[in-house]
Amino acid sequence: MQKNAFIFSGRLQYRLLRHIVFWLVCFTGQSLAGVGGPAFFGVLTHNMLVEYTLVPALYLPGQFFLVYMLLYFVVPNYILKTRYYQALAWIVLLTIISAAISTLIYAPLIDPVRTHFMTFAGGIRFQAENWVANLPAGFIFSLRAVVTVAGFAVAIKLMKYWYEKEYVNSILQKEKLDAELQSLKAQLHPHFLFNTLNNIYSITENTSPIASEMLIKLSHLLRYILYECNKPVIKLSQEFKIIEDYAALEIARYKNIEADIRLAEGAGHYTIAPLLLLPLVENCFKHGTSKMIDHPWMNISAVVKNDLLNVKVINGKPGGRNGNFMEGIGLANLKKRLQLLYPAKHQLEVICDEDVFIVQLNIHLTAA
Amino acid sequence: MDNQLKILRCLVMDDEPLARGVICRYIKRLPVLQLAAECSNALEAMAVLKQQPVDVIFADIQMPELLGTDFIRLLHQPPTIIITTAFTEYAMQGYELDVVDYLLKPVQFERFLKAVNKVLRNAGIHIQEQPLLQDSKNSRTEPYLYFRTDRKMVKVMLDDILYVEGMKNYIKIFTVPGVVITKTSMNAIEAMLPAELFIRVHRSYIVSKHKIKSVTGDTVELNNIEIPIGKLFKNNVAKLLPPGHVT
Repeated sequence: MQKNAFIFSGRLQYRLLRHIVFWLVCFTGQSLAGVGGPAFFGVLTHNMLVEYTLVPALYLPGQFFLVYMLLYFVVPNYILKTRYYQALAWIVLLTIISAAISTLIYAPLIDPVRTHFMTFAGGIRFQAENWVANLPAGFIFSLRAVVTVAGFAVAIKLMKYWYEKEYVNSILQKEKLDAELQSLKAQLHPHFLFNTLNNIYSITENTSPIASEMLIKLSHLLRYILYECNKPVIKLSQEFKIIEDYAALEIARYKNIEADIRLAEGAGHYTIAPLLLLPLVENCFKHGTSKMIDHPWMNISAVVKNDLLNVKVINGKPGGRNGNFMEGIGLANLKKRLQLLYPAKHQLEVICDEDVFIVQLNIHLTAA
Repeated sequence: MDNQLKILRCLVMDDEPLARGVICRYIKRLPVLQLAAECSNALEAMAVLKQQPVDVIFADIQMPELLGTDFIRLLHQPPTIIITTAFTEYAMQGYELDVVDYLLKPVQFERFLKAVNKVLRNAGIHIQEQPLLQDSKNSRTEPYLYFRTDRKMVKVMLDDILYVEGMKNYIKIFTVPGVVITKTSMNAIEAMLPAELFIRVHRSYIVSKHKIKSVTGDTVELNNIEIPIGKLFKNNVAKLLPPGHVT
């Protein structure tokens, strides 16, 4: 993900620019808030324009103080460290201090400024000759001004913080999963695994053709899962071969199952995402071989016609309740992967009938 | 086989005795090959090569003293080389080293034979690659489906099905041997039957394409039965007929 440099970059020029823009926006926002009303009613005078530009400027030093104290002191030291009571105390204290700073600038200056620039019309009248009398009202105005701006600043800071944290978390999560998968693979020591399979094969090869056949199929399956699955696509014929090997191993496992498997030949020039079809067949064996079925049977077929792959998996299931076999984890995962890999290029139909479970999958393939 | 044919002298190099055993037995199975020597490491193999001529080396890669790939690089006039390894990763290196084939362990005899045939191709010979085991594809049966009737599962050959009629709660499957009645829905049975062989002509009828004798405006005729074509299915049936045909 490309992050916006203006918002997220840590470089000095971007940071400066961000802060300048923030203060410009605050300043114009406050003047517009003053100018907006009179302008709307058409009573805006030159004097008002001058006043509403100057007054927010008088508030700025107090706002600077509060904003930067909060951003670089209270937020990192208290809020982000979840010391909320201390944070609250600091916020109250700093707000009062900054309002006081603002007041001390604002109260003595407001009347000289006004008298210098204009003849004031309306609003609260201040006593220029006795600025101490201005203090209480000035404090209230300053409080409002500093709190509003500081609120915005802290909100932006925290939003950025959570967003970045979330982003980092998602990357960490992904890396953790990758690392787990890698270590799983490493633990398996593929060369040890295949060398050992080869040694067992050497022993069975003379004595038990069935066992050696099964060993060969198992090693095809393992090799496929270890090496081919990382590729984005593989030949359709490869996926078919693996389905046949897997099915042969499952049939050897259950013995009494009657399986009819017909996968299109010469599908070599099409490609497909690896391990997309295998879960369908796994599902079929998982559910179709239950002890509850008196005669387990299944029918797996794949046809390719005009770039359209039609896979049909039918298996017998124990009669009665229909909901039993719907939506195992396998099917749910398959749906998700299809949505990601073949959006608008596939149809998946699942029919769960009394005695039979049917999955039909159509995918528009691209010839390699 | 030609008597003039030169017998290929083979050297098997692998640090695992059982792994050597497989290749040695395969070599003995083919009269065109002769086992010259078995070596458990590359140094031994070097010594053998100095003493006697060798035509083909079956070489493992991951061995303790010297890697098979380095061994191959050290040979001045390398004989034909077939790599046997558990590592998929060396395949690319194998091509660089100009090896004839790359066998992944465990090595099946058919795959071994294919590699040997690659070597023999220069001599213009080809040994028929026959699977030792009866492949399931050769003993393949006709396509079928199972349906439950009362308490039995009945096997129905697709080729025997004439047509399917949907009743309210069950389905009648008319086949050459007889009628099979099962509790299922028309949609389920339509999904089960392959679309290349069967066609839905009516809300309540699915017909075997091969069994259709004739098609009129609103019926299809099987042997001696007429099945109505539903209004919604006329287009479906029209696809069976040659283009431009009007019913």
